[in-house]
Amino acid sequence: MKKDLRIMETKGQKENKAEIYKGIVLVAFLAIILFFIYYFHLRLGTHFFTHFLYIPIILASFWWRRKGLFLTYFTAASYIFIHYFLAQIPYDKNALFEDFGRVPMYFIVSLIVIRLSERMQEEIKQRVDKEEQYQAVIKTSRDGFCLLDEQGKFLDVNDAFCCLSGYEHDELLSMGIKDLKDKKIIPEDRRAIRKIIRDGYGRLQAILRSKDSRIVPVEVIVNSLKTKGKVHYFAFVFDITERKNMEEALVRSNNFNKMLLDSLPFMLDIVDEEGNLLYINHVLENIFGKEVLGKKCWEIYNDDKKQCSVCPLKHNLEIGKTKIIEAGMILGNKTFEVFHVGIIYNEKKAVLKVFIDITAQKKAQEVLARSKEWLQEAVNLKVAELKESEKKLNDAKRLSDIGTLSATIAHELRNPLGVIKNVAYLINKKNKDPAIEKHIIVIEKEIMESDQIIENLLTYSRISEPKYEKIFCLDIFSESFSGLRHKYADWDVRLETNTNCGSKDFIMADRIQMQMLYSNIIDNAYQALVDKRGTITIIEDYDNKENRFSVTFKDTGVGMDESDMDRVFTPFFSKKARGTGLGLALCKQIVELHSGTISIKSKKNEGTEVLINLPIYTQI
Amino acid sequence: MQKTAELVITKKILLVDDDQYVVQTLKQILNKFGGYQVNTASDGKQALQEVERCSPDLIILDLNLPKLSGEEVCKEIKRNEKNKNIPIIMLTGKVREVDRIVGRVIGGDYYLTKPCDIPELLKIVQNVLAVKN
Repeated sequence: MKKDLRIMETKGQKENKAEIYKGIVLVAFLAIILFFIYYFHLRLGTHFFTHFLYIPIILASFWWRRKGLFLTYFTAASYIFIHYFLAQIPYDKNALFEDFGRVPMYFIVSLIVIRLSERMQEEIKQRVDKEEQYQAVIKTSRDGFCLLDEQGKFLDVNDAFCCLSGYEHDELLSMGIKDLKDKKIIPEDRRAIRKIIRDGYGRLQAILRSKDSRIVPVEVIVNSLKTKGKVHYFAFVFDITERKNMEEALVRSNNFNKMLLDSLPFMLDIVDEEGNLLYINHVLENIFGKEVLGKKCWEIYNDDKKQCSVCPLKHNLEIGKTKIIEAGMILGNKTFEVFHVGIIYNEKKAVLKVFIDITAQKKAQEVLARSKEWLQEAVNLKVAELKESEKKLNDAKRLSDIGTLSATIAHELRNPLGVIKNVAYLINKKNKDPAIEKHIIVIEKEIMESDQIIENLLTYSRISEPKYEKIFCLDIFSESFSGLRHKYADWDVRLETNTNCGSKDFIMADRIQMQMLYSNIIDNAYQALVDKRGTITIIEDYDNKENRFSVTFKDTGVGMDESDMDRVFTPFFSKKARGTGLGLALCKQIVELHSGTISIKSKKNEGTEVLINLPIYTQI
Repeated sequence: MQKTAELVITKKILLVDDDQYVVQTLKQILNKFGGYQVNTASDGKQALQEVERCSPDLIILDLNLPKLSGEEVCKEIKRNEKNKNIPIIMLTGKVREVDRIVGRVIGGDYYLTKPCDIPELLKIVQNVLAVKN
């Protein structure tokens, strides 16, 4: 403000001086002209110099405008005074008109000049006002402004630029743009500068270094101005620190978002409301590449290329709402949990989808379910085994009880049997009647049979761990059959033996138990035959490599019903009219004690086949 | 004289069994068809007394006896110097192999199981007595 005042002052002073000079010039002009008029009028009688009076009138009117009229009045008055009072010119009609006609002419000229001058002044004033307005605008502008000459020296700067740079107004005027530039100029700036020099205008971003070494990023708009053959540049300088900061923040935030998206290990995409892919993250990009953008998402992911039945896109998904669906058969029969989130993407409604692979989880569940089933099965199996064992235990206990019981019974029965036998003998000796003798024989035979039953019962209850010894295979049959030979001597039976055993082939087994085994099965075979006739085949197969000795007993007897098959090895099961039902049970026990297997096949009215497998060497 | 001679020849058999029918029938058989003099006892103690009293040529012994078991009776007889040469036929309902072996070990000369074959028994008795002479 102070500065302005000072400028105003000097301006006023200058004007005053000019006014004085103008006054002097006019007074001088007037004096000279009036003198000439007076002189030549009086002496020569010529009016020529009165024309010169126009000069001060015009000047005064031009310079002072309305005030200049006073000079016109004065001049006119002076003219009249000179004419009538000094020159005393006689009245001449023409001359009068000519002389007095000049006075209005003065006024007319004066007024015209005043008018012109005023108009000029107005124009000048308008121009000055405009300039001042502009200057005021520039001065008060928040953006920096500077005027540079061709060398880059500051010709003028505004306050905002001063603030920006930190220098005083006067300091700046002695400096160049180069003094403010930061040393690191980015290459684009050079290009921009070259363009400005070439085209005369341009825009560039630069970094200013202020007086206090502040770094100020600025954007500069430059325009050139050609005046008097010189090129001046005027530039508007905008402080873009905030913008830069914001941009950086935006970039950082974008980077963070991108990093966040790219670091997410699961698949992520954005689709529009029709399901067209707008964005895919790096996981999906690695799988499909960028070219899938714009295609329908289900055409890319789904194995069957069809939209999921539960697709949330089918129902308008609200922005900010999340819907989770489970989609199977995706990317090669995988199962995903897909989060659908309604969002705004590129100013449009879109759906962000996040895929979480739950295939493993699903599989684990299945495996778990299967394990459960398996476990259940195993438990069931074990329960069955347990039941089986329990049954066996019960059987064993029962057998053990039977054993004790039968030992007692057998013993108790033997005495009476002995007595009966004795009596029968006595009767027979005394008897002479052949009919009675026949009956006695029957008695004796029955006694023998009873004795056999008792024997079986005792044997069964008494059977124990085998006493292993070397037994030649060929001996087993002959030894076993010797006891039966008499019993079935009068039967019409073809007994065939078919063996591959050599004379030195042997098995490790209990001799007595082996005999029991053979004789029991052969005895059964005989018993099964109809009308005491038929064929019994014994096939022995000795396999040293497999450590197996198998024997098959076949008969052409009555066979048995299917329903009885699974009970044949049960103790006390018998279909015979007279049988303890212990024969096969005993066989089974013997075979099992020898770690072997026994099985039976039978067809009603065709015959029965008993297959025994025994190990040659038993691991003891 | 003749009669005395006959009497001397007549062998004495001690039949021990707790079953009276066995005793009755066997006594009859041995007497009638073997011509032996048969003394009887129905328990172990009585058997030992009989042995002392009549010193039989042969003892047919059941093993299941009240008061004193057949095995004990057998051992007792065999321990006695005077009686240890009396042959013993064991006639029993025990048919197990182990019983058979035990019978032999404690001094039984024969081991027969009930119901026994009468002709076989008579034959054995005859043989045993013959050997003894």
